[in-house]
Amino acid sequence: MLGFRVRTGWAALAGVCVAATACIGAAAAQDQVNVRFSWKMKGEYAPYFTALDKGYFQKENLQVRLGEGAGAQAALGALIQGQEDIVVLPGIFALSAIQKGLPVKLVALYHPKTPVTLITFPDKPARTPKDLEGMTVAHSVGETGTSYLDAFLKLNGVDPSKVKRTMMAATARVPAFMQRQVDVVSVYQTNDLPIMLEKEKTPFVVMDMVKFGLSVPGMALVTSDQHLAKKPDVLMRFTRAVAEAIKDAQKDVQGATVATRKNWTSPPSETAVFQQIKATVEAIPVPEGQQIGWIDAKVISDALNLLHSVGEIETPKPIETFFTNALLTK
Amino acid sequence: MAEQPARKRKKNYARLVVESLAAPGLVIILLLTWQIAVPLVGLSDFILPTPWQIIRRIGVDYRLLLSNMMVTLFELVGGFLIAAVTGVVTALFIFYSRVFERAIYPLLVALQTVPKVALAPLLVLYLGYGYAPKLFLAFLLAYFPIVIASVVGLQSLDKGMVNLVRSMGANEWQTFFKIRLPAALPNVFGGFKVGISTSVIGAVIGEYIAADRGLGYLQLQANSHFDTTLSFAAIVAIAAVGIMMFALLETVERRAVFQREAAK
Repeated sequence: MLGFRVRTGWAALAGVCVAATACIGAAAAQDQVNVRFSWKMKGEYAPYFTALDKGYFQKENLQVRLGEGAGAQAALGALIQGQEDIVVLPGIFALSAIQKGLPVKLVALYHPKTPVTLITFPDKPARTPKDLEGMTVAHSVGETGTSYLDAFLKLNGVDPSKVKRTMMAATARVPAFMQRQVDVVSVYQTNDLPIMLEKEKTPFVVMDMVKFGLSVPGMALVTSDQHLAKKPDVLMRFTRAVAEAIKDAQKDVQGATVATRKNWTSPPSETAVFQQIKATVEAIPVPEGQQIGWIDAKVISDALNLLHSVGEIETPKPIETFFTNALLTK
Repeated sequence: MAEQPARKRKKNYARLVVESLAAPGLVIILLLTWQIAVPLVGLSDFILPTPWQIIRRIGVDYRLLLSNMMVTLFELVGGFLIAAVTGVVTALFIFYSRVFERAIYPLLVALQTVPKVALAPLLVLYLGYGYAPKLFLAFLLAYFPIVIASVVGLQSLDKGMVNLVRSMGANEWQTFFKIRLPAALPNVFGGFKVGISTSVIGAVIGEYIAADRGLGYLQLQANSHFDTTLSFAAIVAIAAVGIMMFALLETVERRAVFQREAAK
């Protein structure tokens, strides 16, 4: 009797060990991918959390760690030092960094045009770029909407000298606008705009800068030349998983909202996150015959010309220095 | 004549009550003024929530605040302890070596004058996104006041006392442990008290720059959602952490300093 019990006990233990080894083995077979966002949590990052939640990363045999960031500069620094495999950041920033010699490349571009807007109060509205004349705009260093304001105004036949700018810290822009210390502030449809519209009863006047011709590459995936050489297959699977998640999110924004809020320490309301994600996925084009994220050389070329026109870069390097579509397969 | 001492005692008692109630009384008056003024002026809670809204929010989100408070506490205590040990050791070297003093002081002052907010992004670049940059910032902000206060404490001892114990045959170790250190303790703890407060600042600045947890991170998140009430709740929690650590240090100081005095 005792002998039977002992044999059964050993058999059970052996079974557990085999199962555990199988699990560990399965986990060990997955490739680790460390992803760093350039900024704090926002609805714009929904595709990555959807991919995590719906198992798209797992399907590609990837163990993905998503980390919030502290600015594009720190994210690129971590990438170069090998702490991260992929960084999610505004494409325009990456182009500037590559021009300055950073050994990285854009490998996917989800927002060829950053969905940025200028908002004003209804009693002093700016519905067109011409209405901005005589107004004061809140500006902070590195802020997309106003960093290219001159180019945007010239594009629309407005004299930039007629639009005043007030420089301030990034976090002070919206409070300054709410306090009427400035007339105009730029906000993102994929981040602050839905929250502001929900919180404030005021029906802000929203000027979509994209509709008036501003084309600044936004959400992009960037990796280092070293990673591209060492693990292209892993990165390819990552972009494929993200593309699937984007398609999923475009069909089911509510599902993406749930997946994103689950991973958010202190999320805004479900409505606000829903609107952020809706704006995010609506701004992601689905190119014909190509994988989502496909980079159009003309978009990069136009962005480089924009950077050159505002004096941020000298004569651009050859265009192939800046991006590759090698990781995007149909 | 017999009534006078009784009247004097009453007066003293009344004065004691007024003095002990002065600080909480002032706080209550300020809070009440704030509570009444905000709706009167017509400010939205996005601009300035009322104290009652903040207190209610603390009640609703206490778990969130508490969990993030633990993270900040770990960072500031870790940074402070490193600063305390290295700070006192540096002070000893400065006290006993003139060459070291001449070499290190300019560097210390230069380091102190660099705004730590400017250093923070670079620290993230070099130390990554984990606890390291926060611990380092907490250490950096606490280090200088601890060093300076400890040096002042060691230097403040009356030379006559040192000469006296030496004349009784005491060696340098005995002089240090029985005379110099006890005399320096009040200053050392003064440095510790400043250091613990500044290490809170260091930890929070680190969280502003690179964190996914902590009270600084929570406040940043709240600001990005225009949730000023939660932002204030996080500020109250930060202040509470600072006060708590300061009070703890005062308790330790009372035991350390008075124990030595009792042993004499």
